[in-house]
Amino acid sequence: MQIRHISIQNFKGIKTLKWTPDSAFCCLIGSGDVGKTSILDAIEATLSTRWITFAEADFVDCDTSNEILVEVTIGELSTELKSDERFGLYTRGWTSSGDVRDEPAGDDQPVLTVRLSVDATLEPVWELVCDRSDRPRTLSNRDRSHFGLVRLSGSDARHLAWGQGSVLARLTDNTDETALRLAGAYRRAREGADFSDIQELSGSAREAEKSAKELGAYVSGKYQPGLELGRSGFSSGSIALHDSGVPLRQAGLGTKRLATLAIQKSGIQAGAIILIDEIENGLEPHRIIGAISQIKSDQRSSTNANAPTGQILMTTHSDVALAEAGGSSLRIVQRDHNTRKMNILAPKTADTLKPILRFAPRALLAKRVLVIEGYTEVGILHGIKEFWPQLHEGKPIEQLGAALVDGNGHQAPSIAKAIRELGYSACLFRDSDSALGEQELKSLEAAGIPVIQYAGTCNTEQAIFMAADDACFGELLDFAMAEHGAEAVASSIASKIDGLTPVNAQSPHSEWTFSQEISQEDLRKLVGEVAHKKKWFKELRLGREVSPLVWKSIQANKGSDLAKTVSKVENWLYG
Amino acid sequence: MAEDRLVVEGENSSVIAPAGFGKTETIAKAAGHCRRALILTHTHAGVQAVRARLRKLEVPHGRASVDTFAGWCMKYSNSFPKTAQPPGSLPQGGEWDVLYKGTRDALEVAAVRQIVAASYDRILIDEYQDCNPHQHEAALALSTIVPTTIFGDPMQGIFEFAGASLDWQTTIFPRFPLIAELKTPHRWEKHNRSLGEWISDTRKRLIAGHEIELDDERIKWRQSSDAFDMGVLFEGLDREAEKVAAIHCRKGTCINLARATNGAFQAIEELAANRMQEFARDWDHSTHDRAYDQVIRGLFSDCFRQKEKSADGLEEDHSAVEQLMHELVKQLSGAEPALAASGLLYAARDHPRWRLFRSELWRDCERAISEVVNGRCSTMAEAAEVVRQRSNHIGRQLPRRTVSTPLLLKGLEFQDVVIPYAPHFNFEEQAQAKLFYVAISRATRSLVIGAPSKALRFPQPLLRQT
Repeated sequence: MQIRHISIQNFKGIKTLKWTPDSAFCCLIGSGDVGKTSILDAIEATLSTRWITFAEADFVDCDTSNEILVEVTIGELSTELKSDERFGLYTRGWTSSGDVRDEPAGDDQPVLTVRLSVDATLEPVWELVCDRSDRPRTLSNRDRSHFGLVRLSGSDARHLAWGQGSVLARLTDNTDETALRLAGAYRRAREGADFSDIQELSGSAREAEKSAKELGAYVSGKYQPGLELGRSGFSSGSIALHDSGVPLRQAGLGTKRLATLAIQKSGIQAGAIILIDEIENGLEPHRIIGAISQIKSDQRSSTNANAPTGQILMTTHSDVALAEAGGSSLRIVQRDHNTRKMNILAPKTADTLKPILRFAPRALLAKRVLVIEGYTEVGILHGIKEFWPQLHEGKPIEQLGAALVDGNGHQAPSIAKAIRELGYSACLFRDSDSALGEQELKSLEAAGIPVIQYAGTCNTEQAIFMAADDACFGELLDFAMAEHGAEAVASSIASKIDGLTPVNAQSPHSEWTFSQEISQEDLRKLVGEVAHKKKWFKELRLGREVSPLVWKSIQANKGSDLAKTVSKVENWLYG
Repeated sequence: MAEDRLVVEGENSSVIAPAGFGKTETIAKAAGHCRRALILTHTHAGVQAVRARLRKLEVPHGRASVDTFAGWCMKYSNSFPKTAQPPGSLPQGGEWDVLYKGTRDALEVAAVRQIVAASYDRILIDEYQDCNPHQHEAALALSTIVPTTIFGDPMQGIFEFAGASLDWQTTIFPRFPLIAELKTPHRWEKHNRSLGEWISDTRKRLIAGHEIELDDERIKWRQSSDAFDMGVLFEGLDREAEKVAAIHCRKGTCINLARATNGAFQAIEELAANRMQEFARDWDHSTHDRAYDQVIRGLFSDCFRQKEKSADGLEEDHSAVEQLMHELVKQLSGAEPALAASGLLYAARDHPRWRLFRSELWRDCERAISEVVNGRCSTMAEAAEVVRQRSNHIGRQLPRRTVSTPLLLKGLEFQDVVIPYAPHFNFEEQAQAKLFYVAISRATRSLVIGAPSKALRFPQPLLRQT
């Protein structure tokens, strides 16, 4: 099963949303309060078997006079759903151009549209949408179980035991014999529970263990059914998965979640729709990467085997997760603050996102993104931003949803445009030693991307040196010498200036001698050029560490090109 | 290999099954091997026969979906109306062909094909000899989606007049290759094996166009030169027999036979229930007081025969009934004519001198009138339609002794069958031998044939099978 289209009205924070996921694997991203989870909630409320109780708070503005309406159109239907004794005669068509046609025609794929509506009575109604039938086909929760929706959220340990409705129970062939043997096991339970000879249970435990390992859960011994008596006494829910005798529900959050995901994965054969809230919850980065790549490769192998692929919709705030998910699966959730209309954008081409994902995935989790052309500027701005909060009531730029992003040199303009296209505010910061082409400038302007660069023609190193007073000039040289070796720094300066010997260049710059008069400005320009060529600051760490010096000269020389330009950056980020 | 196995293990195929040779059994057994089979037949009676057999064989409910060919096409056409463009809920005449063409069109749509493929893993179509070319086209479309086996008997193809004249050799077998011909006459194994043999032998002679010998100890021949020879109908009649049929090709003759037997044999109605529809139309068009009276009187004379006064004058006192009816007739011109009619129809059954010979028609009209009396239908025509559809759906309960045509009795079994004046089959324009074969093969225990001589001969049937 795959969701082809979803439309939401008046549900939680979502006034309206229309979205065509268009992929078997979608990673929903967006800033914190945008309502990603509400989308998953809406899907779960519509397709899961759970009976959801609704309250005023589930309506936009708590206004129950506007009914909640969620319509989910599902494709890649299982044989069972397509059968005419189930919903076959209610199928609609999904056209090759991605629209619903009530009566399928031509080569349309069969799809079903499920509608959940809740009016002021707070009584939810589930039905199939099909204009051709006189009477709506309402759906019971038993009916909805055929949509195979599972949601992995929070620390729900329900699925780690064989209780009613759990995936483990579904995974276990439920025969009468199993029930009898369970009863027998109960009698023996007090003497020491041993379920390992109930083949059905240990079989599904083995299967769960295998998938859990694939997904990266830590398995210390082996998974086995074990007895875990709860308050309600003995029931199938008292038999829980144990890893070497320890109930799995006591494992770490990450392992618990991975084990749950693993169980669901093996429990649902015909391409389930799996909703995952914040996949990174409780997982170290390498396990996030492992889990996502396993999910993706599972999907690939089902597709290659011509089996139903299913669909995974997940949310994340982890840059590791979204980098692993890959550009083509990212969907950016946006919501207009006032109208609360929600929008979900997909990158037009995955290629433009590649550098963002490679160099600055976290930009995608922000609202305002400053794309910075080179390493030097990235490092220095990362250092300088630490000085800004004191000027802005203690607010760091992150609190405003702003992020600094490496534009990877000449790719910076296209990255900025790609980010802008996804609906973020974007700004390009670059040095001005090489001018942008006319064409490029125009397209940036057209896209609404301001470009901040130095007034004069210079690179950032030059701007820094030119803004520096004598004392600062010296400190910058000392910094470079300490980092790159005095001799090396001195000789590279000496090679550029007539009459200055490498030995002389190692002494303080006030003692330098030249073969002919040279202005302070030209000297700084020359040294700046050397700093640029020799990459004195061109590294994140170096940029950061030199930034207090830079900030000092900005403060000392507010009229400088550097100070003015950096202040423009500051204004945009705080704007 | 057993035929049912042969069926489910192959692709598209056909099975030839003479009457009484275990066709329904084979279909039900084959369905038992399927995930979910679609079984299509032509009549509601057929649907019920298949369902009953599935129950008897304890085939799990979900393994088979049984429907009439028309009903299934109606369901799919109405579900995909833009493509199928189905006629209204009650197709008339040529509209049926529109229905089948539309179904075929819908079966070209990719999504619909997926639905059919998801719904069934085998399609079994019964009574294929009754398919017309449009139904055949729809069946062919189905057979390109799910493996389809058709069952039929060219010798029972008596709907030639209605266009069901598919050529087995050139039209059916190329698409549904013949995989089996059922050989065991199950119908007679328990009751009268020798009768079964005679019917099988006769089948061969009929196909060949040879003369049929009636002076045979396996059946009873009665010399007679008249369809209304009561001797043929009643001599040797087992009064305890549960199901007896007299068979004549002409509907009018059947009704007259029923009348002549004073209702000992009952005439039954065709699916369209024309006489009830006529009654309903006339009733709805009645505008003046006398009209209701005429409509009811017409129905009376078509359903009842008045017995002669007995010679000794001894008979039950019927003055009370007559009085009541007289009163009710008056009320026909009152405010509630339907209520009066309802009482009249009920009372008439008690009249000692009146004999009902079309009880099915009478009962259906009673039911239609009661629909109107109880306000469930506003017109008699609407009520008649409700009654007709209901009885088509529930299936008819045949009277113990029926007189009817081969068309109406096709597919049914009777312990004892009487054919008054057999040469009349030759008066039919088409399918004389096939009609005769259908008639004789209804009998499971005894067969009485009335004819002036000991030999009968019919033109060779159109089979084009060789």
